Amino acid sequence: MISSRLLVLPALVVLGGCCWLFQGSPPETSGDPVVEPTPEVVDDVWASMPEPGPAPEWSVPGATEFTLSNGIPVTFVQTGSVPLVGVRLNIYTGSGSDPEGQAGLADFTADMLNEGTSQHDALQLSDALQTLASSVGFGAGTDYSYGSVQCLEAKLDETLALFAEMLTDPTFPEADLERVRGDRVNRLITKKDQLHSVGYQAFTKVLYGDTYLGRSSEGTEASIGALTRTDLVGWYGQVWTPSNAGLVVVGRMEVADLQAMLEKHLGGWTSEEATEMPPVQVAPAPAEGVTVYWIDRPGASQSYIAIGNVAPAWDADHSTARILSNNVLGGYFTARLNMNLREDKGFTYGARSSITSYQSGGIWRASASVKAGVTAPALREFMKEIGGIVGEHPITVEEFAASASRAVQQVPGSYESMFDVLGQYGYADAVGRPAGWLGAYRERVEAVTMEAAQAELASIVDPGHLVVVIVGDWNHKIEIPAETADGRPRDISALVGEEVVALGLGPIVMLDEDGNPVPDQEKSE
Amino acid sequence: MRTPKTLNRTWTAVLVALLLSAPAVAGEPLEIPFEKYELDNGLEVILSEDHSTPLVHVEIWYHVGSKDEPQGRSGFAHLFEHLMFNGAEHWNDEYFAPLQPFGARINGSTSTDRTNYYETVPSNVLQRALWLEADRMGYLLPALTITKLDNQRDVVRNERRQNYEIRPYAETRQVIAEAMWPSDHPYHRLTIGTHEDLEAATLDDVKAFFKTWYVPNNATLVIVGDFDPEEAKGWIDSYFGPIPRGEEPTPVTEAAAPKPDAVTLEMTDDVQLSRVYLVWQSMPLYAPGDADLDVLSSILTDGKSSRLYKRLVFDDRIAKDVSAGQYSSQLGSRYQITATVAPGHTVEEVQAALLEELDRLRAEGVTPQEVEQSVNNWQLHFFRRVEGVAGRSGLLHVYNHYFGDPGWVQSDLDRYLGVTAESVEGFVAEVLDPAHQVTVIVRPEPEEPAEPAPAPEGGDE
Repeated sequence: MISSRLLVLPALVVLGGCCWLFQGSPPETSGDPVVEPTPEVVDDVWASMPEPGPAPEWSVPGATEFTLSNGIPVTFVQTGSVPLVGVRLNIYTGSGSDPEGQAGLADFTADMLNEGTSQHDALQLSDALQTLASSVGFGAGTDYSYGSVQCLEAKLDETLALFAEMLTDPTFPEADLERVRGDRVNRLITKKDQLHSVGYQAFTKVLYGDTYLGRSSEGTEASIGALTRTDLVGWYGQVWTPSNAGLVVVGRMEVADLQAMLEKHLGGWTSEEATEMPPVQVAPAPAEGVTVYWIDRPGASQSYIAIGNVAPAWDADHSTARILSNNVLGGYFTARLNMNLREDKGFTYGARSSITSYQSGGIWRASASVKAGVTAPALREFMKEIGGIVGEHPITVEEFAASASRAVQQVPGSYESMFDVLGQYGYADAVGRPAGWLGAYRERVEAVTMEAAQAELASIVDPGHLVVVIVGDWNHKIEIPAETADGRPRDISALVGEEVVALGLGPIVMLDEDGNPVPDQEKSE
Repeated sequence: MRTPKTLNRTWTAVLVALLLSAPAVAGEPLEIPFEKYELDNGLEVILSEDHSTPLVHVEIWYHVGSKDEPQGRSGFAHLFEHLMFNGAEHWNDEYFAPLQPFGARINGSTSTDRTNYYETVPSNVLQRALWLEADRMGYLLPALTITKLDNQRDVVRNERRQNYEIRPYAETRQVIAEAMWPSDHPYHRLTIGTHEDLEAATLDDVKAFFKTWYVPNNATLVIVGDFDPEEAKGWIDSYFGPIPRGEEPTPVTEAAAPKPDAVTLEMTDDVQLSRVYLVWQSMPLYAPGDADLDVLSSILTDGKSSRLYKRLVFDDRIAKDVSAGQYSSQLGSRYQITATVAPGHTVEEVQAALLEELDRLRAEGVTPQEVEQSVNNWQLHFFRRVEGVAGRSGLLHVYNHYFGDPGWVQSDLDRYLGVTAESVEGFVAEVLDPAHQVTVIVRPEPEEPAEPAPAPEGGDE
C-alpha cells in the first residue's frame, strides 16, 4: 500500500507498471484478436516500459516587489535574455461587482479605454501602437479588470506613454461608444448559435440568477443596450484608481531602470478622491434537489449536457484539494468521465468536469456534447460517475497519486515562455494570492492527503442536489441499442425527451434560449 | 485540419526569435539548430537541443493525410489516428495513461497532407515517450480489435457532429470544398469524412492502411528540448531500429484542378446572422504568391485601419466581423474572405461593399506602407511560431515534409521579407479573379412554426 501522501518517485514507479489495473478496465480482450507477424525483437526492451528517473530540478522564477509613489504595488519578475517586456495592470474589481441590471458594465468600461483620449482618437491610437509594434489591451474578468502591454524593451518608454494616456485619460466618445455597444451586442447575438454557449449561460443563470456568475462578464443584450455613457464614466472614476491597482512586469531589465520608467509614466496617476469600491455580488446557496432544465433545439445532432451546482468561494486552504480531486472525476483525458463516456461508450468526443472558485462563489460542473440519440444513457453514466466518486467508488490511491503527480510535473511547462510567466504572476496578483504563492505550489500539493481530497470533493459534489441543463432536440428518436441498464429492452420508438423523463432524475423545466422558463411548459410535476 | 493563418500579435515570438539568434531586427539569419540522420529502416530522425526549460517534445509525422485515402473511405486517415491512442502490443491500453501523471501534453492531428503525434514531457520522461511511440509504430496490429474500431468510430462521428454539424456555419466547409475542387480531387472531400464512409470502414481497412503508410520509411521523428543527443540516439536505435522497412509508399503529390467558374451558392443554417464567403482557388503552400496573399490578408482585415475592417465594420457598420486568409495546403490552396452581416443589414449591402473594395484593390493596388506594416506583423507572427519546443518541432517537421530540409526557416521568413506592393498586385490579379470567384451565402433558417416540444409528463418522482 502506498501512502496517499507519497507523490514523488516511488509512487510513480508503481504507476508505470500497473496503470491498466486502475484505469477501470482490463486490457482489450473482446473482438477477434488479430494475428500479425511481429517484427523481430532484438532484446527484451519490450519486457517493461522504461521508468522515468528523478524529475528535473526546477523552481518557479522568483519576483521582486516595490511600490510607486502613488502607492501602486509592483511585482517584477526578471527573466529572459532578450529585450522584451510584458506588463499587466490589475484593477481589483471585475464583473462580479457589476450592479444588478447592469451586467457587462466592468467589461464595457474597460473596452472603452481603447477608444480615444483627449489627444488621440481610436484609429490614431491603433495606428500609433502598430507603428511601435506594441500591443495594448483592456478587459474584465469576474474578480478583476486589467490592462496589458507587450512590447520590445526599446519601445517600452513610448509604449508606456501611450498606455498611461489610455489608462488615465479616456474620453468615452459617444460615437465610438455606440459602435462598441453595437459590436458587443452582435457578439452576444451570435453566441446563441452555439449549443454549449446557450447551455452554459442557462446553467449559470439557473444557479446564480442575475448576480455574480449568473451572467457572463460580457453582459446581456438588454443590459448592454441600457448602459449609458454616464454609467461607464461613473464606473471608470470609481474603480479605475491607483489605490485599486497593481502592476506585474516581466522582462530582463534592471529593477531600478524599470522603477524609474514606471514612476515617470504611472507614478503621477492620481484619483481626485478616495472612492468606495462597489460590493462584490453575494453568491447564492447551492440549488436544492435535482431539477432538469431543457432548452429545445430541433434538429440538433448532439445534445449539450451540463450538470452541477454552486461551489464555494476560493480559499487558500481548499483550492488544491479541489483541483486534485476533480482531476480524477473529469480533469483530464484519462479521468473517469472521459474514460467512460468517450473511450468506453463512444457517446461523445469528450467529457469533463471542473470546480471553479472565485472571490464570492464558484461553480462545479460536469459537461459533454453527446450524440442526440443517447442523451438519456449519457445522463445515466454521468449520474453513475458523479454518485460513484462520492459514494461507493471513492478516489483510489493510484488515481490520487497520478493526479497529484500530474499537478506538480506540469508546472515547468506553464512557465515556458516569458508571457507564460506574466500570465501566472498576473493572474495570481489579480485574484489576490499572497506573495510566494506560485513558488509554493508543490508544497501545497504535497500537503493534501487523499482523504482530504476525497472529503473536499464530497463537500461540493452531491448527487442529491444538482442542476441538469440539456440543450438538445426533445423530439429526436432514441438510439438503438438496445437495452436499459437493468436489462429491459429499450422502446426504440421513444423520443429522447421522453427517455430523459423516464430516467426520473427530477422535475423537468423547459427554458427558452435565454435561460428563462417557457411559460406554458413551466413545470412537469 | 490546417487552421487559417491569421495574425495574432503576440510578442512572445520575438523572444524566441532573438534567442535563436536575432532575426530581421538585427538583420541576422534566423536559425533553428538541428541534426538530421536516417536509420537503416528509413526512419528520419531530427534532433534539436534546447536546455532552457526541463522539457522535451517528441513528435512523429507520418507522411500520409486524407488526400491519400482510398475511394469510399473519406475520414479514414483521421479515424486511424484515433486508433493509435488505444494501445499496441507492449502497452495495450490508453496511450495517455503512462504519460499523463508526468504532466505531459499529448495529442495528434490529421490534415489533408500529413498525420502527426506528439507529447511534451519533462526531460526525465523522454525514454518512456520514445518507447511508447515505437510500440505503436511497430506493433499496433497485434493489439487491434473490432471493439476499439467501433468505439473510436463513434467518437469520431461525435467529433464530426460537434465540429462540423452543430457548430455554426460549419457546413460551409463541405460546400466550399466541393465547389473549389473537382470531384476526383483529394480535397473535394473533408478530412473528417462522411458518416457513411466512417460506418463502412473495416478492420481489414485499418490493417491495410497501417501496412501501407505507417512504415518507418514513411515517418519522421523530431525531438526538441532538454535531452542528451547520444543517449536519445541509443534509445531510438533500440526501440525504432528493429521495426522493418515497408514498401515505399506513394503519396498523392499532384492533382489536376481547373479553377471553378464563378458561381453563387446559397444555403441556410441554424444561425442568427447571415454570412458571405468569397473564395478563390490559389497556389499551394510555399509556392510563389503564397506569402504575398498572407500579407494581403493583414492589409485587408488586421486591425482597425485595415481596409475591409475599416470599411465594413468600423465605418459602415454593416458587418459584425470580416476576415481574410490564405488556407494553404500541399496540392493547392484557397483564398477566402468571410464577412458576417450585422443585424439590420443585408447580404446585398455587404456583398456590394466587399466587391467595391476588391475593385478598388484591383484598380489601385496596395501601398508600400501597407505592405511594410503587414510584413512587420507577419514577421512577428512568424517568430511566434518558433516559440517553445512544440512550435519549433512543428517548423522542423513542416520544412522537412515539403523540402526535405528542416533548416528552411530563414528561407521561409525571406518569402515575406521579399513581398512588395507590385508583387501583391500581381497575385491579386492572378488569384482574386471575378471569373473564378465562388460566392457562398448562408442565411438563417426561416422561422417555421416548428412542432413545439411537448410539455413533459414529469419524472417518476
